[in-house]
Amino acid sequence: MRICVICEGSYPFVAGGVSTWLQEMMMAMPGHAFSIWAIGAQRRQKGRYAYELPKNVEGVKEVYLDEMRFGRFRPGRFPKLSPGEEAAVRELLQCRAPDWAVVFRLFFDRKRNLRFLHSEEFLRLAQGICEPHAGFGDFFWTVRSMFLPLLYLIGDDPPEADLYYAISTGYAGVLGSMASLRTGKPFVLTEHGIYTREREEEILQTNWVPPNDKDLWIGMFYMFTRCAYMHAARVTALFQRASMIQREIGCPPEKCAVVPNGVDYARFSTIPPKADDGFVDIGAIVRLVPIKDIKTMLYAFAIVSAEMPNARLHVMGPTDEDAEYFEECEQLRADLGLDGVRFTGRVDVRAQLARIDFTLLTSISEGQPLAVLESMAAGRPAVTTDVGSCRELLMGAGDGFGPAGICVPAMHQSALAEAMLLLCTDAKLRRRMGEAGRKRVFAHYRHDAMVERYDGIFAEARGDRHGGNRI
Amino acid sequence: MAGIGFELKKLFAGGGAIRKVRAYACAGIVSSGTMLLSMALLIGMQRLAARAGAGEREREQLVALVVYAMLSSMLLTSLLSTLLSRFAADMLYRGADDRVLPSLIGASVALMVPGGMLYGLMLSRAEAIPALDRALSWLLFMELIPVWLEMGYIGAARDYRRILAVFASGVGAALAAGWILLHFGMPAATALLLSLAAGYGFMLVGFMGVLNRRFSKGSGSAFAFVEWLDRVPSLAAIGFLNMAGAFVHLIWMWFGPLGEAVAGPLRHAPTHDAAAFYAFLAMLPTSVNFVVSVEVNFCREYRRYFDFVGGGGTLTEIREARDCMVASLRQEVFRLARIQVCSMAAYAILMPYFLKKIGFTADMIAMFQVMSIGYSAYAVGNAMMLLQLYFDDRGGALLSAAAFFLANALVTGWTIHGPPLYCGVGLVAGGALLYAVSLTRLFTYAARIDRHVFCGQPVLPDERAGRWTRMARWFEGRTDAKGGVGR
Repeated sequence: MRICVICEGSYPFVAGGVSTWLQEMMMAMPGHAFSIWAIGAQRRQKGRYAYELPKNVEGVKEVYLDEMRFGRFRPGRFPKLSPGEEAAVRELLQCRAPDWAVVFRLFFDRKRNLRFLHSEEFLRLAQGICEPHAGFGDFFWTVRSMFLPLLYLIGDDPPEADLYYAISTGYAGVLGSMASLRTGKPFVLTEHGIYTREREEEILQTNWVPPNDKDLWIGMFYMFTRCAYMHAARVTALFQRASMIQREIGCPPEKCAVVPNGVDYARFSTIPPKADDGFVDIGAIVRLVPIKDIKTMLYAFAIVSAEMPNARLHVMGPTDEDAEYFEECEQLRADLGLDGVRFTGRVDVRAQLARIDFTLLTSISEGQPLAVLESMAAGRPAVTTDVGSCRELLMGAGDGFGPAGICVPAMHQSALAEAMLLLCTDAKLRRRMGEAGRKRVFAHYRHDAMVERYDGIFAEARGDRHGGNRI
Repeated sequence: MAGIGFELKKLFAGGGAIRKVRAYACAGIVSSGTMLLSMALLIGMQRLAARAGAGEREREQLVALVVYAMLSSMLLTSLLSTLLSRFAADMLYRGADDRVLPSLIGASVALMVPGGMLYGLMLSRAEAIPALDRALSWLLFMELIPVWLEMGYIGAARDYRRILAVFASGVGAALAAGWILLHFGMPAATALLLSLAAGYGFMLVGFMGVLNRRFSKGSGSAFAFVEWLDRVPSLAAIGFLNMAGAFVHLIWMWFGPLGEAVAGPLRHAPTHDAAAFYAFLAMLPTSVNFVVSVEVNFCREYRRYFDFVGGGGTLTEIREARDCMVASLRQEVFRLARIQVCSMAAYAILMPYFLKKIGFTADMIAMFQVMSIGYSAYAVGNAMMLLQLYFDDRGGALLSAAAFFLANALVTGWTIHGPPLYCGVGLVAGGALLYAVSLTRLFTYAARIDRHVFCGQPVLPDERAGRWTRMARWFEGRTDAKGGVGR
């Protein structure tokens, strides 16, 4: 089967959980041919991949949002909209429930789409939907810049494939829907986190969206998500809670499925326990980005370090994604005088885990972190924040294996420090939890089992589509 | 004409826009005022030469040397003056005051080098004229280039009192120097050329002083403005066509039945030229009124509309402000036209009594009257063309300027062998067409201003670098390497 994977802001440009997951899944499916449809933020990423593409990846179609130039600007006419088209576009601009088939049919060409944003038709529609008491100029320009990336992206032809597979909603989900409607091929969606909620939080916190426009922006991302849910043959989540949120947002329950992440059990379970060398080594397998909350990690470790001078923290992961943040973390480390902290950059996780006693994750938001699964498979307990499916991973949903680590509230320095100190001082507890983790991974989170599930879902989606939309 | 044609989208960002509009309006009066004053000065010089007993040939040569210097420099600078106004306005808008004056220096150099060579080449072939007189004409030409360019910036200085003082002292200096030199027996043409060069030299320095007081010390490349040839290339064409349109009939006539050779390639058409100079003065009422009425009435409505557009006005407020603005525009334009027509009628009827006294023939008076009509139509049409630039309708302004130039050139060429009454018909045709085109376009555009304001702004800036942009960046790089250029 030829599968086109649609990635937004991740593979193959950015290293990290989702990207690594995809890379490994593609490598584990040599029977399928993949192509990547990658939405990147900046053109300078072009051709600079964080991964060596697996052999069964046939091509990468890259599209960059900072490349949204449509040639020299010439405002032009746009054909008058039919009543049906007008209704669909009005719904679209109001971020409600547009008829996406009409939208995709109408906006099939980038230049034409830009003309629409400069047309009197667009002005008339904007005048029609602007609230009477709202400032019209701001509304008009906001709506126009909001929909520019969408119209840019959907004005492109999808790569040829037998199945379209998006690994997030957002623009990737809309492109999957568009490709499916235009080509008649099935579309499958997997969400690692809940994209809509992440965007919502980001927009609520950001300064670049004026307060009055935040509802509109958030509404747009919810609309994108509903579009993807509506057109996907199957929507998978990594854990139950995520699947529930998908249903809350509007995904039809019959499309929902939970497919947990998996790790290469054989590869990690054979890592021997760390020999006692007088130090307690804590490993954080993370990208150096704000969402991983490295600063709280450093503050918490400062408390640990004060009580346990023989504790060491190894922060393992790429540092170049947000250079400014990395610099701030470096500065903080120096200010706190944390000699036991080391930023290693990107490393071979398996080799490093051999030198680690337990792992640490302080993220503010997560899906189902591979780093925790790998740590568990290697028999290393984990201290994590209570985000995404971390609690489910560490505690198990009543599987009888017992806890595989300690879960604490996000951004809670002293709780994190306390948990770390407990594991630092109690080697027996580490071993017990490590063992529980290893057993849980073997039972529920093996990579081969995961690949099999996805293989089944792809085959089912394709068969279903051929068999007449049974979903 | 500082401040014209700024991009509307910049208005939305708030403050400062209206200041530019005013600067532009002031510049309008300053630049057309300078031209009018120069014509008046030329007429004064002719009278002085006649009183000093200069022979007809000597007077002809004097006038030709002055007229050639003036027209050549005006045509040459018109290529850049509108563009520079826009550049200066954009820089002021960005708060980059220090980038303004270097562009004046850069543009002067860019025009003086090739212009000086070509003009010198032409003069070198007029061997019948004394070399000293030709050299003085060349000097005058070289002085006038920066003087005309200064006019584009002076409006932004808004130091009306000093501007007027510089004008008055320049004209006074020229006339006084002329009178003194003649008194000491210097040949009339040489004396008067020298005094004109002194007068304009005085203005050049005086205006520079005014500009230096207003703008901060210069920094950066003097040629940064060439990038604007990529951004708003039509402004170069608009400036040139508008200026060339105002004089093309004069140049045509030099080669027609009324034309005569002065010396070498220099020609004139004495009867037609004299009639045209006096007719040119008919434009004065519009020049003054444009500033007074536009400044006071239209701008208020214009500002209100754009304040609503950029400052959170509701749809109802925007629509209401738009209707008021268009109504005000209509009222102001037609008031301008009425005043121009009435004052032109009075001028064309009363002036002949004076013209007869200074030796105008019946034919010359007829030419004067026809051209007064032509220049009046041009004055009002030109005002509307400038209003098109208020709305950033560069396409419309280009259409108006091109229509004016082509109609004047073609109709003058077509009627050149007709009776004297037909002299000036080309200008009337050009002026009328300019009036019709700019009127229609201005009001059609203004009526749909919402569309132009909202739909016409690019969603994304086009940041591709054209030939001129690359050249500007190259100059910028060199300047940076040298550690910046002061003045």
